[in-house]
Amino acid sequence: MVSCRLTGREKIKYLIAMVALILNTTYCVDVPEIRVLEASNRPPVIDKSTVTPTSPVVKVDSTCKKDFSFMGVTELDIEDTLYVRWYVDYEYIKNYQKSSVIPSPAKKSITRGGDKFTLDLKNSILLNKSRGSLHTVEVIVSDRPFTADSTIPPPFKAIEEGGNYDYISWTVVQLEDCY
Amino acid sequence: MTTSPGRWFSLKTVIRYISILLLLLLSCRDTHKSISPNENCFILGGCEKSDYDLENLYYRLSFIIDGKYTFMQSGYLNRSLISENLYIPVRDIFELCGRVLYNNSSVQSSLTFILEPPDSLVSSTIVDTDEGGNFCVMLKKGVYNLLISPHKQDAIPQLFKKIEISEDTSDLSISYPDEDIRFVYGRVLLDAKSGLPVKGISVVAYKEISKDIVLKSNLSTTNDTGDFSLVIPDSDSEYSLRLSGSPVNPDWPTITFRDIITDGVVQLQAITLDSVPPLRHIIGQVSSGERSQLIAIMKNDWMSYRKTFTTDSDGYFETDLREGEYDIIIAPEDIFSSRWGISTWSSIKVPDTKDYEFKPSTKILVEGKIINDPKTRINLSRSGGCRGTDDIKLFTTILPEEDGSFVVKVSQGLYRISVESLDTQRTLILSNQMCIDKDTDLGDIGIPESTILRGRIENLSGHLISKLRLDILLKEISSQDFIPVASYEINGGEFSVRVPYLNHIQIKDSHE
Repeated sequence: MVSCRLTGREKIKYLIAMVALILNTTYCVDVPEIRVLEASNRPPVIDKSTVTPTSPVVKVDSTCKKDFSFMGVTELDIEDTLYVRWYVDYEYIKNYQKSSVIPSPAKKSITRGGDKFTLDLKNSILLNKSRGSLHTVEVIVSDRPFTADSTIPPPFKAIEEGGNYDYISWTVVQLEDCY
Repeated sequence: MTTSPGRWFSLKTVIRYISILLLLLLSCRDTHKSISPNENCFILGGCEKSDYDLENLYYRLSFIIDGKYTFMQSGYLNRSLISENLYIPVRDIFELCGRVLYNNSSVQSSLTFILEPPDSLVSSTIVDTDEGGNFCVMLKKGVYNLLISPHKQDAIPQLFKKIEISEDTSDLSISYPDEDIRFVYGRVLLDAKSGLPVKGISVVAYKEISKDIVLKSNLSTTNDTGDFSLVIPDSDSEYSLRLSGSPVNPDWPTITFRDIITDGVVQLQAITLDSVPPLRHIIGQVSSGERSQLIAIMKNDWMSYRKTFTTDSDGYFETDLREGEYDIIIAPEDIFSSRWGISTWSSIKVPDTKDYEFKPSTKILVEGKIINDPKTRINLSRSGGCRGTDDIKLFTTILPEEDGSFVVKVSQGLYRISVESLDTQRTLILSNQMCIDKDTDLGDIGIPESTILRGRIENLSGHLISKLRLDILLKEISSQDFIPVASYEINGGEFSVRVPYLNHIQIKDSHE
């Protein structure tokens, strides 16, 4: 026997449809398309106002070190764990230099803390570290784990099915040699 | 039938045995390296021999002035003063503009202002000129070392100046000196016998002004006849010369000639490279059977040579290396997920009579249990190999299981481990740097309560300040580096943030 009991969401859908129908037929009002969002996976969004350095082009002096960070992420699916990877010059070394996770917040909240990374050019295995060299630092925040199989393209960047992501990147200019 | 006294005796024995067992268990627990949350111990693995300055808490306030300049100021407070209000005035900041000129022409360049004495909590201020050499910068009152790095580095040298910024400073225009400048010429030859010129060798003259400041000439690349020419904006100091490969001619070692340019030198004698060993083709395999990166390093008194190359997906490699003895570092490309760790070999001879085969070691286990906080994340920061065998930096963060236990596989190396609490009542727990070269059980880790640091930021600068961030740091004694322990976005005016409660820590003689 088929149950005719409606769930809360179905009741709302039904109500909206009825109101739309009444409005449309009775008052001939153009009703915009109403789409009730199904429970799908919402992407994490890096809070760009918390990103440092703020400029997309960054100079590195003789210390050969630079801190990069984002201090906040919005994730509407509050139970999702977020996976973070920091890449440096991905085109040269298809790898990442930091792997991190941001757990769901202790108190129910759609915002949560971020992550940070220190680029240390003197102690990195990059090919070109001479004065004037350009580097790319990129961070990807995903709401599903990165795939374990690193041969799936793009290597080390592929995310498990259904995942969403956000990212930021910086161009780093070396003012000094960092050998 | 069993008698009653017998049964009574056996029950007593059972109780005795249980008591002994309990005692044994308790004594085992004592020997286990663990931190009880009641001890409020901040340093993982016990408070003894802390490598952190636990007398002081350091802070760095960063903010943006007038919506365009990033600015930092720092300070510290003794742990006995944490309960008192921290007052941070923002004042004596000046906006200054200027122009960089070389031979009366504008120079597009980057200017680095380094505060004197240096403050390692605050990064130097770097500003770019426009194409006309014009720039504006915002600086705090004080003395600065200024290094000018022209974008056209093949023709124009760097310039170093010491400047003082005060309320009387109105213009920061800088001209390269007209007279106090030297032109030095030279040639690079393959060897004395053939006299063949070498094209594509990068040559630079430099002088170390301080630990962090090295003043360099223009970067000249040898032409078809092996000639180079250097401009040095200084007529009476000694300069060293450094030769290295360039994109035109890679695979050359870096060779340094110390202090060979003195005030009288205009034409250098021909530099011959006949002591640079020839290239040899080598082939080999990394037995992990997966794609790996290899770093070959050769160093001696007069040259350094480093080459990075990769294997194919089965672990095979072939490359050219210069004859000599190498340290080899091998890291799996999938460095975080691979079962293989970073491995090193020393005294590997090139060439050798047989093909090379390297067997890397597997990763090691690090485990532990967070006992008093259900929401944490564990950060493992690798600064290099134990005993300096490699310099590969890695950072990884993991989440513990629901019961607080965690297990992670890592490469051997020197690690700093921190456990961050997501509970706003706590901050984090931080380990000294430790060598992890075998399976390690960190035991039970308790995260201590934090305390509140209240303070007030007063903007007396006359400028608009925004996006304030307060970082709290501890100073590592051995390296003098600052290690962040908390970071907060704050509004101007009064603030209240959680910081480690250092007062509960028994400070023992941390440096023997």
